[in-house]
Amino acid sequence: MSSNKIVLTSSDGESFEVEEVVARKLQIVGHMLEDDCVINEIPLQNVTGDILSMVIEYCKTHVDEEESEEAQTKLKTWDEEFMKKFDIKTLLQIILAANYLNVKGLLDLVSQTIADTIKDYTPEQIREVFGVENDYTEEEEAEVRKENAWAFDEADTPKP
Amino acid sequence: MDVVTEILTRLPSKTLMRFKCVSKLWSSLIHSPYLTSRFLTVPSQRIYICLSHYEDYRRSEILTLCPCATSPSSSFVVDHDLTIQNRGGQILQNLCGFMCHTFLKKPRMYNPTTRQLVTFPTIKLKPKTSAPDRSRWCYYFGHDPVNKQYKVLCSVGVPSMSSDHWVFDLKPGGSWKKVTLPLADFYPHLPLRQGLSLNGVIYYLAMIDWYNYVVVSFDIRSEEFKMIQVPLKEGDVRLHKAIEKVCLIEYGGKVTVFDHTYLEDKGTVNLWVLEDVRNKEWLGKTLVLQPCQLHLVKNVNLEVKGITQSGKVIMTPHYLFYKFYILCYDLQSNDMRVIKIKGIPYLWRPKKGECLMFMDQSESVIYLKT
Repeated sequence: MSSNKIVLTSSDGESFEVEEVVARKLQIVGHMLEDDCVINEIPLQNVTGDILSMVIEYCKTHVDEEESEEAQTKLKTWDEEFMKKFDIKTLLQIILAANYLNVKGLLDLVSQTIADTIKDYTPEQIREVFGVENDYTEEEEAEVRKENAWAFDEADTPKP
Repeated sequence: MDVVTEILTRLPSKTLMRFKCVSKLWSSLIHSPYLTSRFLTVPSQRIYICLSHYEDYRRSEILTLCPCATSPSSSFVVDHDLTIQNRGGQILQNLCGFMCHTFLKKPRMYNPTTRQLVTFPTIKLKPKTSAPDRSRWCYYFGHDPVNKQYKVLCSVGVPSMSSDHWVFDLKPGGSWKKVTLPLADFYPHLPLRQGLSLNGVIYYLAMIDWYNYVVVSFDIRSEEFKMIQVPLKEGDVRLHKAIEKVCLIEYGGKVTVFDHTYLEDKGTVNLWVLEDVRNKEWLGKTLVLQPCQLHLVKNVNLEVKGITQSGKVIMTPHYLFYKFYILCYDLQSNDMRVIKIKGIPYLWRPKKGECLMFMDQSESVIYLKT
């Protein structure tokens, strides 16, 4: 029924013309369309063009999710290949976009990919990648590290 | 911060404990009720065994065993990467993934996932008379899922003379408080070891004299005691050794007395299912082991170590020192299997008594505030 086209515009002014069914995969857009059905151009303030294009690529692929096992396996393989393209910094931008645009499937996929990527990181790497400020005092940090010394790999933990 | 929580729920527990060092904010996110309730990684089944060293009994450790990769249903093997040093004791209960045990007479709760250890103080008693102390001390651990409360109950009993009870509410500034006993239908009793926590109530078996067993229930929220007499099967006599052979399990969501007094001789197990707690209604059942499996129990002094979520009772020989195996008794299909235990390190032996805990629920990253 809907060959209706919608234009999505990113924060840096890049425009993407997509079919309505694809745009509706972004739940934020879905809600806007329900409120007023004459919109055909939607500005998306919190996402840049390069990230938005990735999200759209995901939504286009997932537009008709078939039940069949074969189709599911094919999609899963596509998801894996799709995720391999990005480094951790890009993945973090995609997860923020998926959260803002409310694309549930992509949010789950990126969360799992990030978790698998960072699971062997040190706290220092996490601070750097996530831009987290270390608000521990030196003593506090030493204490919490001592408590959880077992969770560090043998190599970088001083032996008791 | 939403997306960070989304990522954290998907990390292994060990990684989470390491990431507590990132910042105070991350540490509080990791222990937030939202995350702990959503954290549901189910590793595989695990067995924990407390060991002590042959030459120095003060050295102790907890081994973690996982199903063997090549024969997951018939053997468990030690994962040496997960060995925990200087922990362990007499295991009393598996409460929502917490290993509840005593060490040097002090009750403790230990979470093998986060490695948090909570040690409770001992109860200070008034100096007693010089009469020989025949009192029996038992600790039972309970969780009320509605109020998210943890409490420890201590029952001290002297056979047919007196019993005293204290409760410890696990919260900052918690302490032991004496419990008021009901005026009617409640008798002094000798508490028995394994307790059970089910739907906010602690249950334990006790003896009011040498022949009569009761189930004592303790409501975690209201701290009210009740006592329910356990029926006897016609023709059966409670043997003196029953004290070691009768225990409580959760079977089909109900409190059940598992009596294996006659298992090693006759291959039978008596079950008493508490169908209706309020009206004190029991349903009796007898299981008869298949003749071809009788040799598994013949002349073996067995102990019950708990029940899996799929209704299999885990039993071990009393002397785990020589034979490292457990028996897995499926009550539904009446089928008993042997599971071998492999990889116990040289010079280490299981501690005496209660030293083994079976885990098949998801790991818990709940942090107990004390």
